Amino acid sequence: MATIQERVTRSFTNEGISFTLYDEDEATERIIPIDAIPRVVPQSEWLTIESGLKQRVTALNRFLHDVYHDARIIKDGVIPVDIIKSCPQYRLEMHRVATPNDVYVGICGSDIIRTNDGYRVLEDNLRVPSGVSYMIANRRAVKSNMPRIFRQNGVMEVEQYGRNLFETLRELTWTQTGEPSIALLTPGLFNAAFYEHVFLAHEIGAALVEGQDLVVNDGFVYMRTTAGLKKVDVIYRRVDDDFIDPLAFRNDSVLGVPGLMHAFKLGNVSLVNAPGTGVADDKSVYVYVPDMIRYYLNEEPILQNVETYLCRRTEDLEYTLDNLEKLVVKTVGGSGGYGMLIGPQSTREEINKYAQGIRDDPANFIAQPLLQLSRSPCWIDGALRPRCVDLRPFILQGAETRIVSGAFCRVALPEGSYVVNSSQGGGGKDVWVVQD
Amino acid sequence: MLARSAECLYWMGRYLERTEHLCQLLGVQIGALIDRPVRELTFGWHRIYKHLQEAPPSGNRDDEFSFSEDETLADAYTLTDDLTFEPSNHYSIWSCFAQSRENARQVRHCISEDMWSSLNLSYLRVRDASLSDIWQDEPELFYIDLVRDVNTFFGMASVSMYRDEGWDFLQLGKTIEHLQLRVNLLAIQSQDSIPLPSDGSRDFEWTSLLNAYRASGAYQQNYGIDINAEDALDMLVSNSDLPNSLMYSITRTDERIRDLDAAPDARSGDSALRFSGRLKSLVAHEWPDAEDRARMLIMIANLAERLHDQIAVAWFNYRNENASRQF
Repeated sequence: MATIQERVTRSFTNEGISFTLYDEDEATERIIPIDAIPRVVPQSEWLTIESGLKQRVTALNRFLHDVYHDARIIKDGVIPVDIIKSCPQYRLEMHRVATPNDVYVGICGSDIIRTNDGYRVLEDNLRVPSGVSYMIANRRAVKSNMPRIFRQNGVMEVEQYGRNLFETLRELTWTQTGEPSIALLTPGLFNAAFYEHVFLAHEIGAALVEGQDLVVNDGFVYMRTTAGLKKVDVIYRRVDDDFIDPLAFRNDSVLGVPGLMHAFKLGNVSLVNAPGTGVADDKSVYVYVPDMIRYYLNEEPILQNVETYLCRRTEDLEYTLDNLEKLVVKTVGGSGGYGMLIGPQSTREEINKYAQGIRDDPANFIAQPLLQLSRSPCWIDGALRPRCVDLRPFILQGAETRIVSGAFCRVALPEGSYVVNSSQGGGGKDVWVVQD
Repeated sequence: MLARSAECLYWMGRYLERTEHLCQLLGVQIGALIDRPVRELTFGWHRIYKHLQEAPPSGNRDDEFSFSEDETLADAYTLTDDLTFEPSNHYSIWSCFAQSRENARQVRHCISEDMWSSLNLSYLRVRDASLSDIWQDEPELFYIDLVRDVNTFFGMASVSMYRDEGWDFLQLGKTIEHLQLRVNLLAIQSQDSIPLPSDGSRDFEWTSLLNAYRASGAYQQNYGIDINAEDALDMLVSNSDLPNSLMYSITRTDERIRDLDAAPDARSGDSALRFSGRLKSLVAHEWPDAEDRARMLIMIANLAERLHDQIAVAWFNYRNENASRQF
């Protein structure tokens, strides 16, 4: 096992499969740690996850269309209007903006954990979800180093993700036929997920563009090629809403393209994911996803949420403040594991300081019980050791919904840690979906 | 191809060519530390720094190195470190590798996995090395290995890269850098060369240059074993069969530009072609009769710089108002 682990790690190093970490002074390129022992998920369990995720992303897209058009879900009192209005990711610029197939979220990465009560969705990433390249890189590294075991176990493939992504992007152009001109918009070399941007551009045959490579002319978007300007049909954007168009959003952005929103609203270019999808993955809105499923689809949720307290509600706020030492508290717009409090692992001083922040702006916080994340065996320091893991499958929504049978499994590598984020010492492992 | 991707490939070619060029010069220079007199070593360092238009540590570009025999090794260590591992020196081998890799990272989707792996492994090897490690043994071997790494990269490219315009830009960067570095070096060599020793021994400056450019065999074949500065210079400038000659780089550069210009839907490379044509004509027709060869080398260097500018304007940094070329 030690030899396999060493080979797998070396292949990541040699191939430069990396992410970027930032501190105050500099950006550091790091090789993402990979554990060679795959996480095994029986196919019967996977089918539940898959159908639950398809149901969820369908409801989320219905919600996004509704919230930017007639807002029936608000008028019918299912979701309070103040939650939507106060969400910084709700974009007035998207009001009554149509998208191909009414799809706003074409690419979703949902974080799933396994508890004593089964699989639960911890959060949905609907803006620029990342990690899918590591899913495929993990698979390639592990498969090439354990070919016999891989073959013998009938592991489901994940290689078709690139093809699925291409088809999804084609279905999200307005013409939906022919060979679309696809650009993947990256913030650039120093972005944490730049490796993934290059990887995906290669997988789908897209041009990897930065804002400076695109121009808007007469309401159409063009990229600067060696042959002159070439029209772009669809942009798989990996730049946050705030930065995609300095004329529409932050005017100090140098990452975006002036006039991009104008071209998008005219229906001359597709943006995947559409701007404004963040309103559906706000942690306050997350609480209402099961209600969305019931409201739009008239079905019971297949996958449950994690129990969540909204500090904007008086009774939830009181409970949270009284039980901080037992809870995990997060800001509603936070991500990457930053800015959260893990009560059971915090000092009294840290808890008191955090409590003051909650009292100052309760609507900015949610709380959840500290869940006993499932553990998976990992090869660490020459021995098998249990570590907390989660799953991030990727759901593609175009004219149809596609999910490959696999996921990026994130691992909290430090002993006793519950934080699986790569930016905070997390690693990854392959996920093998196998027949029962 | 995206203009910025083309530019990255172009610069990747340039930085890798620069790496190879420096490794060849340093390999010869460090090999000479064993038995060559200080006078020759001094000129060798001077030549390297001056043609890069860089100031050596604690000195000025135009300074004569006047260290004594005792001080030579210590200075050689410092200078070698500066030219090999110093990150703040943009011309150091480390910087060249880092820059070529940064460019490669941005176009990983345009190059083969073999090319990327080859470059990344070389980068990791240089990153993890230090002069104190290599100095103990035979430091010139380190440079020989790096030259081999760069050649392996281009070999990988030649067998695995699709022959589209990306290939042309990679090769164009390589040939332009080849041309610029060598013409600058020959200009310095011609201006600053020290007189041939009266004892009739070989002229180290030209011998070492021919060795660095793997041109000694070709020289012997054409002129015999006695090194004559004029003949050596003539061969390194105008011999179109010698892969390290200026004429060879100019011809290859011109071919690449013609290929890019002729590609379907291509932007015009007319202005760049004018400069590459002028360079060819200069070396083919005016060089043989030139009385002031040093001045002519400076002219070639200036034209090569302007050729780079024209390439950038034609394909990388053109203005956007040309809407008629939209398709």
